[in-house]
Amino acid sequence: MTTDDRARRAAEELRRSVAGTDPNTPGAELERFHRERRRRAQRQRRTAGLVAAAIAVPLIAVLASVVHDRPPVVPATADPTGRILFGRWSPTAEQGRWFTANADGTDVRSLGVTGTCARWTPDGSRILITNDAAFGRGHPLRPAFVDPDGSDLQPLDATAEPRLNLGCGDVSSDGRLIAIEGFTDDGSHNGIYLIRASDGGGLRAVSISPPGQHMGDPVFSPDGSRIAFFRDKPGVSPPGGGAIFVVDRDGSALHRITTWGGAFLDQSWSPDGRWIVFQRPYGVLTLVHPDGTGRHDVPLDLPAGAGAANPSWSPDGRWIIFSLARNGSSNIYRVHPDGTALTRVTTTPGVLEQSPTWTK
Amino acid sequence: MHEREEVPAEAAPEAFDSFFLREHDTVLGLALALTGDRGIAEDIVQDAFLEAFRRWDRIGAYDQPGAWVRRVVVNMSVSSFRRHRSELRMLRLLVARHRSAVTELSASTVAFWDAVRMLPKRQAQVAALFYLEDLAIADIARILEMAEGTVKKHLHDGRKGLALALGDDEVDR
Repeated sequence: MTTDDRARRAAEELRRSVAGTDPNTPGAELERFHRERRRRAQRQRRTAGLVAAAIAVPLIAVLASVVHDRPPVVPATADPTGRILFGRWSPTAEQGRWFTANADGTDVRSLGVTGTCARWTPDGSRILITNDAAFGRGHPLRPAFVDPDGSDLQPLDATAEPRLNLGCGDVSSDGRLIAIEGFTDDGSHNGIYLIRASDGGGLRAVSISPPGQHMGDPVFSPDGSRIAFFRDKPGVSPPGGGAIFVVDRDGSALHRITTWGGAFLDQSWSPDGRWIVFQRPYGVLTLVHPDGTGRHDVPLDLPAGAGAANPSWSPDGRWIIFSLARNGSSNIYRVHPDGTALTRVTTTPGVLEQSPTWTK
Repeated sequence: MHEREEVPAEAAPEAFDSFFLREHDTVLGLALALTGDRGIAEDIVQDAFLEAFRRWDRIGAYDQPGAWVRRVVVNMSVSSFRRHRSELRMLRLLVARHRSAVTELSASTVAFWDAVRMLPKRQAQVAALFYLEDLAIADIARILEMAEGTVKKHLHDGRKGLALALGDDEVDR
């Protein structure tokens, strides 16, 4: 079979799958469109007119979640401390709005920052973000630092390569370097890079992917000597799946530590450097040593249809914090690495909360 | 995105509705081909038609308003790695409603459109418009606002990339 033969069959099948979603009511899609349009318009007006009610909304949301969405929760074995950082994703804007909260979910504060990624620096003094607000024609994506309250944006834009976007990254434990994903529109220079944390300059390639493939979400080992990252390639199943690789900071000793298709974006080193936690598609938290041995799932007793994603370790190594998706929305949860003490951290219903990280 | 009063609705509602009914399924197919996710595709199509509705006094006067909405959809569907990763990050693969769309299609069809989505952005857009809508080079050039020669180059490179990814030996047109 030629590629064009295959293409014709694939096109015909896809066309059939969307044609006449409801053939008995040809205007059903149009009715749905106008209903959704009116709903959005009402929501806009309501948002604009009810600013004063904002104080009451969190309380209502908490009560609603208690009544309608009660996943299995085990009481925590100890009161965790520190602050967590997490995003609420906007599918329309393709970005997250970022918040911090106490590790028990109280004192949620908006940073007033939107972006694809955000992550605490190792000492918790700043937050590394993707500076999506400055991204546009002639202005490739670059990272930036903000203070923990979202103020004092410091662009890290000293890299002059105009075609290379620099996206999600992680700061080394000594605070001097950022491991960061790089990508171009034509996919020719996708890879993992290092830049200076002081100004974003000093670009160095650590590992470059074959054209058209992607590498993402680099995270430093606690001692800063190695980097773990996600990589995909064509034909990997299931959709969105890829593999996690570990490489020395100088680009040597590159090795794959999961099967192809056995991992999803977002992985995190334990503070002692012995484990990496990641999501096995779909929705299974899994632990593996950095050399690829010892792989096993975190035994979570989740409701049907729920799944876990974006895992990250607590600073003391006693908890894994992650997003738990269910019924089209997600909140932040934490659990011990042995699967005990599953605890809900955030409680806002109807939102897509994700990518939590935790600092002391 | 700035919300504004939807004045065009009163100006030409029938014209917009008929445009929507004519174009919806095809545009949804295009978004599905480029995202691989029914839920995401429906969201993108909703947003694209909403933008068209808001500006319908101007867009409805175009010779080919369908080209405008397709341009919006392909740009929203494939927007470099940021889009790719944001789709992954939206956790939607954990939600049952999105799984059903994948299983509607045969494995070979899923593999083909997966391969299209792995192409560089412009090649994927050209391939989707060429194969799914069977559009002429000139029409694709108009939608993507690029020269016909550039479309041909992207199509050539895209077909080679697809043949390589799918293990095919040749292309025939």
